[in-house]
Amino acid sequence: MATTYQLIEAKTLTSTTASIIFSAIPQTYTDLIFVTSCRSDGATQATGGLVNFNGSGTGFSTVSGYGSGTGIGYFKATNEFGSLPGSSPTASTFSNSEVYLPNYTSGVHKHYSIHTVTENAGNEAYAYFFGGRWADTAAITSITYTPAAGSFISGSTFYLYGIKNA
Amino acid sequence: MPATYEPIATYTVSGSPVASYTFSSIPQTYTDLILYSSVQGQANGCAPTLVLNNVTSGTLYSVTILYTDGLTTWSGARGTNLNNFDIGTTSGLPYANTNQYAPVIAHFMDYTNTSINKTIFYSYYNATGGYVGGADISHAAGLFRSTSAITSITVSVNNGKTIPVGCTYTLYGIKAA
Repeated sequence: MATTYQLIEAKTLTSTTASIIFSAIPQTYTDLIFVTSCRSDGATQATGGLVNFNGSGTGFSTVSGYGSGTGIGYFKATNEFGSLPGSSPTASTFSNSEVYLPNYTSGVHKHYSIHTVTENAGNEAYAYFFGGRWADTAAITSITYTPAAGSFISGSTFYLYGIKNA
Repeated sequence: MPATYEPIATYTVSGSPVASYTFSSIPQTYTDLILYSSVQGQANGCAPTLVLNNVTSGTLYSVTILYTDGLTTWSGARGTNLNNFDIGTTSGLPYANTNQYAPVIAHFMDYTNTSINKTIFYSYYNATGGYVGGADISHAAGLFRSTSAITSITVSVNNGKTIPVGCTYTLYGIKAA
């Protein structure tokens, strides 16, 4: 049986960047995995990462639960696609996030799961679980990822992988 | 380093809903297994379930679950002496729209080791459209108190429901070396 889990594209930022985009995503896989390690220059402890599929930021529903080490929380949102530290936490500390996006070429609504953590030598860091849905039957051909506050800083990395089920 | 992460088998429900599906004769040549699924619920709600090696008696399963619907805080649940892995909690899987599915993921670590009981991570992520329109994230650690190697995995849903047409399940194997 052929091995799968193939790197489609990798991005490593060498300067501050407002958003990143993976475009012309091959339609030859079954599922996608989007892995990031990133940080924003926004003046905050942590900020959300926002997604557009095929240039659209509408039609999203997200549910999340999280823990901060000192408390827990929960919320419903729209196109949140993970979380990342802002400028306040410990320097040189980036997020760790993985999105699993099954059946991205199918003719049904797109759904995904997200695990994301930020870290901080101080008192405030987060571990999130997200479940998401994009109420659109179009195949996903591009993914745009943008911090809700600020811009991605140099050293942020983004990887898109494809998995085939046969 | 040789590549790993290989698809073993895939199944898509077609024609009519099914009560369950079994991945049988699982190769014993990997280290870990991952089952990735896209699953839809049915009216009045249901959640995914698993059975290993066709064992449905002897109350050998237990689960510890962390869950939220996004409207209330995280809650915990514990099930012991069960006859399957059942991690259903609040809203379950989506069904409000026939185009809605949810990722369901199960990790089976060291599944061929006959010296240990088997442990799994088992989760589903429903953003909206489950029972009474709700969302549901459910994360569980599960224990199967058997030292037998895992040779089959049976997927199903609870609450007396069936698995709708269009649901997909793929089993992957990962080698440690």
